[in-house]
Amino acid sequence: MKTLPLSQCNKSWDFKPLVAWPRTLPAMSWGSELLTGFDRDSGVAVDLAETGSLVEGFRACYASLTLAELSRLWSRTHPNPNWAEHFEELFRGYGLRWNDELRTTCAILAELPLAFQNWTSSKQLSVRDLAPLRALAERSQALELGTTLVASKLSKSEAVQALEWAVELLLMDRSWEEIRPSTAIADSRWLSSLKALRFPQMTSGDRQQQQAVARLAWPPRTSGHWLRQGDKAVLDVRLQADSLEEFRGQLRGLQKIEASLKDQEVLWKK
Amino acid sequence: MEKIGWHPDLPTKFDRVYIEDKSWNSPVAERARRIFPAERIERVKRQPFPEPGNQLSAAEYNRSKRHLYLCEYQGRFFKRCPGARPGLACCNYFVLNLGLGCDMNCTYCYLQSFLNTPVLTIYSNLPQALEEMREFLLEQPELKIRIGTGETVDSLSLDDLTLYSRELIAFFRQAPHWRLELKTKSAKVDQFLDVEHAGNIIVSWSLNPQHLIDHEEPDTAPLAERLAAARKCRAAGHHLTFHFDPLIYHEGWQDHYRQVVAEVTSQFAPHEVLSISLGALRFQPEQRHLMRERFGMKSYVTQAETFRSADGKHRYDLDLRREMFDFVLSEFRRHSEDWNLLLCMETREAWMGALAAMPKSVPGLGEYFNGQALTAFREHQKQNYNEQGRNR
Repeated sequence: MKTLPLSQCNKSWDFKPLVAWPRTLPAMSWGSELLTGFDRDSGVAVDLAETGSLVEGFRACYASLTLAELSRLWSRTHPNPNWAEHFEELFRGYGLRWNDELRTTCAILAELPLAFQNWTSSKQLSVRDLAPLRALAERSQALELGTTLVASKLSKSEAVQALEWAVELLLMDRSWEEIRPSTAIADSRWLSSLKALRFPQMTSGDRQQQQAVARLAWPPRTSGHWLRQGDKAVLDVRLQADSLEEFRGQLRGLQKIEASLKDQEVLWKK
Repeated sequence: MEKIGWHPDLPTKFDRVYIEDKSWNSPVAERARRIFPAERIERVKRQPFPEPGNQLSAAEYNRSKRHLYLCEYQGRFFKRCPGARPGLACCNYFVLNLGLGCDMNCTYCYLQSFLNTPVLTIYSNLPQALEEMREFLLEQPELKIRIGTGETVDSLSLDDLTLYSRELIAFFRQAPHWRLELKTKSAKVDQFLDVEHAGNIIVSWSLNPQHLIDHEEPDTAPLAERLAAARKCRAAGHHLTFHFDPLIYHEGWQDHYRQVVAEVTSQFAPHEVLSISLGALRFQPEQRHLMRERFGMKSYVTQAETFRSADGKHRYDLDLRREMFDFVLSEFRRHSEDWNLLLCMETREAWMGALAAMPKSVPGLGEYFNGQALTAFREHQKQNYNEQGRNR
């Protein structure tokens, strides 16, 4: 097995893998290009160039990689003729279909700060999750948003939704000052405020209806709420009765509510 | 046919026209070689760009509109409308897909949700499509069905190239109880007006206010040209239908839709228009990413407040849909109660809430809204499948 002193190896393919190469193993290289152990300065590297294809060798070193790691690898290697023809095979090995959409996403992700890239790795974000970024003409627009997301307390699904609404609002010419969270660390309240900005008519309409429902004279142990369910909003009525007498009383009260809904056209038009 | 002209814009519509070897001598390829400059035409063995695998990127999608590919279709042309699904009030309909992709560029186009062909494709083997219909006609000679060609392509936007309308209209003379619907946003009708027909051709325009055409329907014909083309078809004895689809909410929508309804009602009488269907903006959720990338957020479609509906599509709030349907329906009814109005690809809740009738009760259409056609077609498909199995 051929080895090379690390001093004779290049680190131009250093894609900042998240997991350090085990100290117990020698570094690996492809010819004089290091594949692993980028943090080492001394020792030798085992040259995998004679044992198989580049992609096979690389895959043997890294069983799993995140989208951000692959993006960094792609950004450092795509001009290299050794790699150029093999990205389809490489990405397929990590469960991704190499196409123009993925290539664009990799290019965008690789240009964003490492902290954001690592955040996408920790949240295991997919190409689809990051799709809104592809619509931003200026990468600078993504920087503040990225910083906010990295520091946020949002869950994965909340973060993906926040990313999409924030990008859309930026593209609708809302300034970052209007969009950014009111607290130092963004949480689910930020998501609510983004939703209100992105869907102003629905938000204000639903709020008015919620208030209207709350103002109605609900009989004892009954309640009504205005709930949004996708593309429609519904009046959700609940009651609890432990006797026929109480149940009848509640129904009489609900009939009064029905009459006031009808007369005043509070929730629905006639 | 050589005397039939084409739109002056057609020769510059595509950067490149690829013709598959097998299609080189087809009538459509021969006509393409006359229309497009020789340096833009290339004879190829296969589709020019690699398939992206799943979905086209924004750049690939945009490029697909500037590249035309003429080839033979390998599957079956004649199919059921995909709208025939549980949960949707649909108008039992058959489709004949003679191509894939569109040279127009509507922001909301549903092709964006499933198109994965990197080049606008026109199928050159029309005789096969006609043969498939002939087989079904022979099997079910009494059945009344409607067939549309505008599901995966605009029926007429490239018809000055293909001239398929001429052969289809001629074919439908053999099936006078069938109806052919040519659905379009173009104004290209001159190429078939002289063809003798059996009075069973429906030429169908998707209409929107000119403001929306400018804003959301690039590369389509202006409203006035669409209506002028409809008047020509009326004069030639063809049936007309109009689709206000998709209705798009925007500031001033009521004024704009009032104007377009006024245009229609001033130029056509209710008895001259078989039906007018309404549909509100809707799209598959995954489509929003491509629309956002391609058109930004200045489009009324991308910036719309839409929500996931019971069938998974994004739609406006139900109350807003009802308001828009009721407004447009009322505008027509204000002019006359005789307009045949219906909703398309809409949930039952919206049907029940709006002033429109269910399609089965619309005079002149009800007979086409029956399960008989679908049952017969399923049986036809099954037989075909079995025969293919035996021949294999």
